[in-house]
Amino acid sequence: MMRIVAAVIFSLYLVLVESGSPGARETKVGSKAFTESVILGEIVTQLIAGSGVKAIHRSQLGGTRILWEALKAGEIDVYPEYTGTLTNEILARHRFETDKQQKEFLIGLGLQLGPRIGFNNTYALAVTESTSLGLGLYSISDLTAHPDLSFGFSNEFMDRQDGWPGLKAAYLLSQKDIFGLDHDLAYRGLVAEGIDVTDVYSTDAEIKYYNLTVLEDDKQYFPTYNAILIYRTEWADKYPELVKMLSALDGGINESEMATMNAAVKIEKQTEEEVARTFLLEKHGRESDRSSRGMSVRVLANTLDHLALVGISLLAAILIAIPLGIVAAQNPRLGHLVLTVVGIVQTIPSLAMFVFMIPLVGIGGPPAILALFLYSLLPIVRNTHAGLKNITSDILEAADVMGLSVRARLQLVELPIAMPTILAGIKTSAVINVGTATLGALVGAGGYGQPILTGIRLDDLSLILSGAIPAAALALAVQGCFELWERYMTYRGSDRGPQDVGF
Amino acid sequence: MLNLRKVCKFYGAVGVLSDISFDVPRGATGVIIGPSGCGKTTLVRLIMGLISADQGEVMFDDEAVVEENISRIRRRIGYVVQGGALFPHLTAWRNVGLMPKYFGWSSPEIVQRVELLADMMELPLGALHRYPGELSGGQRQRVSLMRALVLDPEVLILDEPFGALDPMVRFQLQEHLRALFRKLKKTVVMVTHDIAEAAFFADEIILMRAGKVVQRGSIFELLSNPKDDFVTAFIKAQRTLAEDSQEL
Repeated sequence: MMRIVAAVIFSLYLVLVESGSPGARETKVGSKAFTESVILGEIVTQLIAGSGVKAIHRSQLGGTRILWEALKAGEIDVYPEYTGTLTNEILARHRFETDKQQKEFLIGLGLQLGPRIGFNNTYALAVTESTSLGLGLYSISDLTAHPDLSFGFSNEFMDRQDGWPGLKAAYLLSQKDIFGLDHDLAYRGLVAEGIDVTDVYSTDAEIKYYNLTVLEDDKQYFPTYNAILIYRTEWADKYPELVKMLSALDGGINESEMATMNAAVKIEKQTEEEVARTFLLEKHGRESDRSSRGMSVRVLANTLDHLALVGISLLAAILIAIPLGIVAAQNPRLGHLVLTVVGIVQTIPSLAMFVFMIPLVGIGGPPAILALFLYSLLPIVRNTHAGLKNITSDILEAADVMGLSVRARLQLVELPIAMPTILAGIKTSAVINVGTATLGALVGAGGYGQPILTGIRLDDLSLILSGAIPAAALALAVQGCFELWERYMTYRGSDRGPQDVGF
Repeated sequence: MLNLRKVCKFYGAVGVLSDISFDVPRGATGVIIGPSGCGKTTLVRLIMGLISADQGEVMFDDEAVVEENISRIRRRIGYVVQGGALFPHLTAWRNVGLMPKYFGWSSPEIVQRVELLADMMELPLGALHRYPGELSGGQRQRVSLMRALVLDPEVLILDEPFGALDPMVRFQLQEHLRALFRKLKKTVVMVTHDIAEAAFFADEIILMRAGKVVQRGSIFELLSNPKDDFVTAFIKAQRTLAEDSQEL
């Protein structure tokens, strides 16, 4: 069932949105949702594009897990990863003793490691200069003497095997005041003295910019995070010339060069495209010609993407949820099951949902649409069920004794009477959908979430607003349209207006 | 026309209807009456096939009513549920015209029939385009009757048709309907708890108590030859103007 629905939605999506042919010569490069990864992804993309093979940069996908699933599913061909992340996070449960074992395991997955880029972007803890001088903090061990300090860590660091849980154990840290926040917001928190200590990447542009003190990892807890390209064997076999070309990157960027490029984007506000182009021109003497789009074109493209995400998922949800609601109303046992299942689906966190969808339908629009479709089911199923169940038995008996068939009774009496309630459910789904669709950017689905994601990463308020304002406006517009429609659909003299039965 | 033979209905071990027999001849009006909870509504629901009898049988035009023929027989019966049960999402016009349209009548035929019924029931034409929620109680009741009459059924079954109406409207509608039923020669089964109403309509009154028929007959038979004290008490439980004036 799931797969059929997925297939239907996917084909719908292909017809409406995508127009590329799958057999074409092209390379899909992925990158994570932080600046350094986007810059590396962009460098790889431009390098490949310069060779004449079409290169698509699926930039700033949600997180390690999404990139990894996308690579395994063949949705991307190559992306920049870090050796520490690979060993301690992605493959942690396999506990490989040697690099050789790990390499063989990757080969088994159809993957292989490419050139090391040359820098080690390891985790580190940082404090402001005044905190460092005031408390005499120079190494992580020094923290043990100050149990009152508050720690603000990026969410990923909080959860990672090689992040906070391991660090705490290794240094016997006893601080209690610890919370998770977005990595880019952590710097602001640090400067505003909302937090005292945060995790940083050693190539972060902000370390220099905010004049932070990086605490020495005196117990050498953090593993090395050498930047490295990882790609699919299938792709490498198809494009040996590209593999050879990428080997030019081997050792090509050291830590300070990477930090400078990060600063160029985050502080000097250059685009990743420009920074990558400058890098390739200066270091490799290559011209590349990727042009970035203007603001209005971008907003329009985001709007179209967003409407496609919301429209397709909502349409599919209406087509499936109303019959499900009818079945649920007619058969109490099955109804209970249906309502329970769609209720459980609703509780799956959206990021987890996207990760589940990738092996099924890849990255980009389809996983976002499938996830939005699933989230849209509950309000519609529940309202359809409630709308039908709320019809009093005398009305149904009147229809029966008049001689209407079961089907005719449903069409002519029950559904029209329940329609205002059903419509209220569709409205709820639509409005929630517009908001949730912004998360689609995490799996590369585009839409208004794209500028929000980039804006958060670059600490660029106007970029965030260029996604957030249209998203809010769209939600209001959708709400308004449905209210007009409801007014039209609600019969005069009705004692019960459209009701949302809620959650 | 409508004939019940020793009909019984149980809910679990409790008998809600026991040994009910009566006969309503073609063109006659039978009124089922009794105190609240005596099983009147259960009985009409059983006649309509909405619930089935545990024993005995319901005969319609000399044919036993069973699962297989119920939908065919229902088309020959017009049923007015207690409270009217008009479809709230349809105008009065569409409530009445729903079944003709379902059976494929042409538009002019439907228009003609609905207008004729509105005229017959003295419903203003303007009210036809209102939704049930916008109609007065009397208008709603008229529309329910029109809906029951639209396919020109031989038998009408009316459950408390004047239940929620104010006395003036009730009085007028009673007068009007009795004349109409006689003119159209309808066989009528009516449920009420009002003995005056029963006396006014009935060729035969079927007086029920606790799921049983206590006595059947015309109002005069019930008055002159009551079967037990309950019959007398039930008939006498009416306030007349004369009595009230004396008390004053």
